[in-house]
Amino acid sequence: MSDVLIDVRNFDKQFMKNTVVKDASFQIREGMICGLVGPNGAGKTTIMKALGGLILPTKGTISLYGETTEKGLAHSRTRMCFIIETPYAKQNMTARQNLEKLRLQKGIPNKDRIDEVLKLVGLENVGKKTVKNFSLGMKQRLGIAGALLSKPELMVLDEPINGLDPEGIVEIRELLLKLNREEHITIVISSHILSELSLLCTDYVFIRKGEIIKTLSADELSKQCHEYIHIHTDNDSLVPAVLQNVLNITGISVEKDSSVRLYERLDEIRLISETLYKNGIIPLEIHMNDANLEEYYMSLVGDDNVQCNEGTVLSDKK
Amino acid sequence: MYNVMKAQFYQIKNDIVTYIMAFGVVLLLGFSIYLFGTDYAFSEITGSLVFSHLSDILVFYYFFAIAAVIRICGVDQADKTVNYEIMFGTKRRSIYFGRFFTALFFSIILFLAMIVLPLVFFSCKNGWGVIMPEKDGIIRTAFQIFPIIRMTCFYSALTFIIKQDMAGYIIGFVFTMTEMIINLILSEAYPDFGVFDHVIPLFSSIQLINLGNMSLSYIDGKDVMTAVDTVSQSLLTGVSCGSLITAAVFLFGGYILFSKSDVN
Repeated sequence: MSDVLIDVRNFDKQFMKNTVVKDASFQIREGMICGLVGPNGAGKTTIMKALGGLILPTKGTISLYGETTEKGLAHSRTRMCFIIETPYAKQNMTARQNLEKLRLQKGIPNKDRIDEVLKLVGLENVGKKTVKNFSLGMKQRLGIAGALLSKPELMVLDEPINGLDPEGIVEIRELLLKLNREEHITIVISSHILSELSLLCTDYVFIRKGEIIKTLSADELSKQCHEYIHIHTDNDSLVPAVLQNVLNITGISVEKDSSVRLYERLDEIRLISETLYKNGIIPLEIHMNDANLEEYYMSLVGDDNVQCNEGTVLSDKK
Repeated sequence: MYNVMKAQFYQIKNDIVTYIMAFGVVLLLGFSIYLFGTDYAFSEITGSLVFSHLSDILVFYYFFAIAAVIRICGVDQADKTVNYEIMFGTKRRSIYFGRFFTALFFSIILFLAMIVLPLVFFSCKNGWGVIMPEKDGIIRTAFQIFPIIRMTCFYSALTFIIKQDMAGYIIGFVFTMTEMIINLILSEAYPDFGVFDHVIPLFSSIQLINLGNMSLSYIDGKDVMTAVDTVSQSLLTGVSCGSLITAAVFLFGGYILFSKSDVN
């Protein structure tokens, strides 16, 4: 049996005469955490909505678990779960009531499953608090609890960390990694917060202006990206000369903010730090870069259409 | 579809609006009985007397029933939780018809509570009375089901097309008020306004309870108004056929539009 769970081929979507997704083709295989990467308005949510059956393709086919018919797709979706835009939540109901309604609607006979998923997402102690009094993170976790109710094999999540505080982002990230590793759930996740995706994904689909511009695995990405040591000192202008003369390092570049990048001897941060110090330069920052995905994305789409705010968030220039 | 209905029943049971609506119904019925009490002694209120005054309650019934149908079909679309039903693999057919049948069930329950219950209660308490034959009352009441089905189909379809509840309430209120005004004008100008009354639910319902010609009779030593005519076969046929045909058009038209449209 094929391990391809989602197969999108030549998918086009037009609203009125406006084409929002054009000729998109990609596959999601079992076990992946696949990131849909692109700025706001790139078409990520449209693709996810089409996977969920909310919008119908103008052209092309969507295959879920090998099914392409309307009936087959609906049946395949019972093995999947989605969180797109707002998570599932009736505001005037408690977490338990929300899940009970969902349980009835999905026809899940086991009532204990509600306790299991509440515990899994850490909402077991919210009692009779209605959802309207939940924090955004709690609502997001309730959405995930609802999604997990029927023990899905595949999760499709649209911007699940949007609006969360740093603690909430870490919680959701750890939960998703746990679900992928322990429950073997395949995950498709969209976000424009690339630093978060880089901590999660095994594969990437890059989208820009409704077109898929590249698909590649995390391994392929790391091969295509250059890792480097970022150095910022009290006197950045002296750093290249010192490192060239003392350590014979030639792979050096100076950035616009005058910080320095080293592309060689990446496992010798300690030695580099000591060398600088001995030559009267006080290092303020020395670390391996962790922004590969962002920079790769920038190189892929170019600076003319996309900007990178603080190196983390992508958005279309207006 | 059965699961959708079960989930809807659970939601209705846990919805504060259900209890507000039930309180409103009780309040309205209590107020109606109080008004009756100002004109008649309690022991004089018979089933047929209640029937002859049903039109006032019927208008309120439609307000409540339309609100209930729109809430059942629209509230999950307004907060987008219906999107998750689609994404979790529930067929659009089940989502649409599951809600329609739930709405129809509550429309009928509301009809039983607001219309049938007072008739049965006062008939049991003080007898049917002499204003009209008992059989005629039963037929006229039973045939109300057809305009109710049509009303439920129309507002279910409308709510699934506009995909929210709030605009549905406004449209429902405006429609019902307009129907009432047109009904008043037409019934004054043209006592029998033909096929038109079989297309709009409120018209059909009022036509069914309209006793037509009344005459003064002297019964048991009292002067009472009694109905001269029983309900006509043509009215019953017109209401039932007109209702079912238009109901089918609304119901399936709404479904086709819902099943072929994007849900954003």
